[in-house]
Amino acid sequence: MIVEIFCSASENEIDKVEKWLIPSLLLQKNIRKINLTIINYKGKGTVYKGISTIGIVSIQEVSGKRQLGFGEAHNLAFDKIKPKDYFLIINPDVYLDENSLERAISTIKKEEKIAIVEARQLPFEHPKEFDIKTGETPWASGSFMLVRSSFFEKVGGFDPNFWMYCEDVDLSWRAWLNGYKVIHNPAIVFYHFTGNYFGYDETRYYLEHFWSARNFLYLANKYWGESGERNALKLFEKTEYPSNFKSEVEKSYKLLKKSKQSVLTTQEYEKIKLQKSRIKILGFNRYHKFKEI
Amino acid sequence: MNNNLTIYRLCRDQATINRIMDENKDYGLNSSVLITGPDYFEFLQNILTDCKTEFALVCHDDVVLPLSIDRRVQECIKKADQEFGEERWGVVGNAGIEFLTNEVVRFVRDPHSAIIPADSRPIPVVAIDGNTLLLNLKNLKNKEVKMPKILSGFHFYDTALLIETYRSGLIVAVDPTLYVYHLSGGNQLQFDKEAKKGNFRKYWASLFVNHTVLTLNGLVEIEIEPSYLIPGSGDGRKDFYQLAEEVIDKAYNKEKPFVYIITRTQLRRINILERLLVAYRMTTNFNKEDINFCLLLVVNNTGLDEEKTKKIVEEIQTKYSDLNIKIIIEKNNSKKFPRVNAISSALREVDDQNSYIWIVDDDDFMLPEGLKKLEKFFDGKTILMGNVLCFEEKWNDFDQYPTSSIAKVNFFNPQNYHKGVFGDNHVPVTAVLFPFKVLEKIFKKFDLEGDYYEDYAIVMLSRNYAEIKFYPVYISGVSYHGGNTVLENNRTHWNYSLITFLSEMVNSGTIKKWEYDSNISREPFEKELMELRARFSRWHSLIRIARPIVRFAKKTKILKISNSILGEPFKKQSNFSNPKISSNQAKKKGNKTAK
Repeated sequence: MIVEIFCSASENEIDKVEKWLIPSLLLQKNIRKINLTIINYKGKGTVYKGISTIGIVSIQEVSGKRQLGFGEAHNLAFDKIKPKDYFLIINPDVYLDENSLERAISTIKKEEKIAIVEARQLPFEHPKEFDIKTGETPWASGSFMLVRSSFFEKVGGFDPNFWMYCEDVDLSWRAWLNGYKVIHNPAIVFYHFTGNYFGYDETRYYLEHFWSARNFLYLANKYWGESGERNALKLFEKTEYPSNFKSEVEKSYKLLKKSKQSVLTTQEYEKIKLQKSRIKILGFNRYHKFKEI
Repeated sequence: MNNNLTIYRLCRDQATINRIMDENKDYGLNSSVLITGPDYFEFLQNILTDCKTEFALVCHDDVVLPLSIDRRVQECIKKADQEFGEERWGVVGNAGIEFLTNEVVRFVRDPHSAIIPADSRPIPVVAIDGNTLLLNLKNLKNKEVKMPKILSGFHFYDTALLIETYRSGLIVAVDPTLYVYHLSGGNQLQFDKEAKKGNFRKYWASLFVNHTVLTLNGLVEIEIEPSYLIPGSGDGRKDFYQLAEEVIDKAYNKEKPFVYIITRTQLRRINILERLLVAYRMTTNFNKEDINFCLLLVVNNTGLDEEKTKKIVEEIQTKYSDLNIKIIIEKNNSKKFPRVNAISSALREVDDQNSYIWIVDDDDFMLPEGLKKLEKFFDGKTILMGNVLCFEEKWNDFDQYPTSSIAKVNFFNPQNYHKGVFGDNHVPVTAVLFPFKVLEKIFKKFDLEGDYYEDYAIVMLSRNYAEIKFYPVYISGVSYHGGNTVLENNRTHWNYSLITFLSEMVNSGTIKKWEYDSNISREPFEKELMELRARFSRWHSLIRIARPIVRFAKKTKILKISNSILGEPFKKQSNFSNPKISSNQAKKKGNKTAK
């Protein structure tokens, strides 16, 4: 079994790829070969300076000529590598359980209609809902998603307009709209042991704050048009972000909107309505119910 | 007077100059350079430019210096040189906000506080009070540190000096050697006015991305243009607190310390043990440039036969052959104190006298990135305490992973270690890094006969041999699950263990007379707290019973709670009103939208 893996990293994250991700790939059970493609998303110099083959893992680096967003970076890797059946998108700071790849692959192989398989993250579990019997979940996190290549190609990959954050929600929703399934399988496990999980310093804002907010507006407009945008803006206005932060987010969103006006056809609206248990916004930046414990 | 030091005071008027001159004469103090006229920025800039000595002590005119100040300053220089390296520090003061803990540290008596502090080492700070500042002019001049021209007046000069010092790559710290009596509590009103309208906001916003500035006068909120969050904007501003951390990290250039992790296992829960071993691999790999590790895995009371034990041990050794693991198989010692015995056996395997010992249960695990922040404080003497996350988990016996695992953020508070004298344990042992020498002494001196509470006893006894320093950095995870000891029904063995350890403490003079006196005054309050807790716990059982009923009622739609509107967005707005909280909650709950 040969597995294609994409991991976007810069000089800030490559250390963890070498210290955590690669050692865990070396121990994967029943996997003959892994092609790990490191996407140098900043586009400068070379990020990975280690040897190109370690055990079953072959490592190569691809790079755009400029800084790429998360979606763009993976689209680039997809175009260059052209993975045959499926490929794994993975975070640089994780450690995969030894059975995770095999289990993810056997899950996606179960049904042609499965577009994305998501793993369970430990010890900090994602509280997102999923159907215990079928594994169906509204959206899959980009921290570990095995994606069917034919689906990815069919839908044109990630929407690069997101730049970063929420593009995984969008890709998942497009899977549901195109008749595919998004599956969470809790038997597939990866570890993300980090004390820094709680480490956002409250003296400042991070990329996640800005782009999650901006993309929340974009998602609302993309799927629910003008009325969705109006409601999303109302929710965003109610947050306690300072006014200049809000106006910068709105400015960025308006710039995007100029080039990308969402005009949904009645048919598309109907399709979204049919998927209302999956395609939903339940609050500012919340796209799922919490998992029942 | 020391040849390498000049004492400066900026005085409000000539009368003050005269008063200080008289006082200096009366008490035989060495003369100071007394200046009146310029504002504090100009005053400091003149010192940075014109002072001929290597060091300058700069004080307010209402600061009373101890008669031993010359000696104290020399001690201060020596301590800072030793702690950070001669070329690494720029300014030492006596009050500030400690790096990493973000706690106020005050080696000063003033109208705000009269508590005599206990620390003895120079502490790096991210905010400083300007009442007394020792300037390392040699370093500051070498790095061409200058006061910002845009600022003037009598506020924020200390913060500006701190910022410019860190920007130049030098540390700012506080130290008890500069303990003084400051007769004024400062002018908060004037500070607030300056914080709202002054040029400091412009100065800060041009350099940094933080919208909150920590100062001893409170948090200063500054509007920051968020252009730094847009890639390709060419915004070169930095995170000030990250910048300070980088400078501080470079300054602590110590030998690579050794950390021994002691884990006792019965090999009965291999699935859970595997999690610890994976965490150990991640910890080792992540910190390999800075820390040497050895996991001392002590196997006792397995209940397994020799052959089976051998087989499991071999499997572990093969699977984790890349890691430094030493497995110690103890003979099944009639089930007598296996936990204490395991630590004792493991300690005999430790070669490095200056190493640290980290006791981690086999169902707990390390958080690999935590130690990176604490490593700089490893001195082989101080007991270092970090923070611990509690994971409430459900495990089936043969499952490889927990069926559920929920992180509880504020479940433990090891910072309350001193409350151990009231009879309760506040410190999971995985939160503590003990210097080897401290544990060695405890195991030599005391008869630790018992199981359970051995962690409590060790923490309590260790206080007699070293200082404890708490840092709010998450270093480990503790698993609470159905089968583990806290829920055991038969408490007999617990009771014997507890009373044996308490008897040891009572009879070994662990608690000092003064400590007893100070704590007994708090006892009524603590009792009240205990009563409250007991009352809550009675309600808790009712809630436990009610919870499944409510859940059932929700499922069967008897109880209608419309907290979600499937596919109909925005009809009902959620309670996400606070982005700061919501984003943190999201983090806490793993509610990331991507990556």
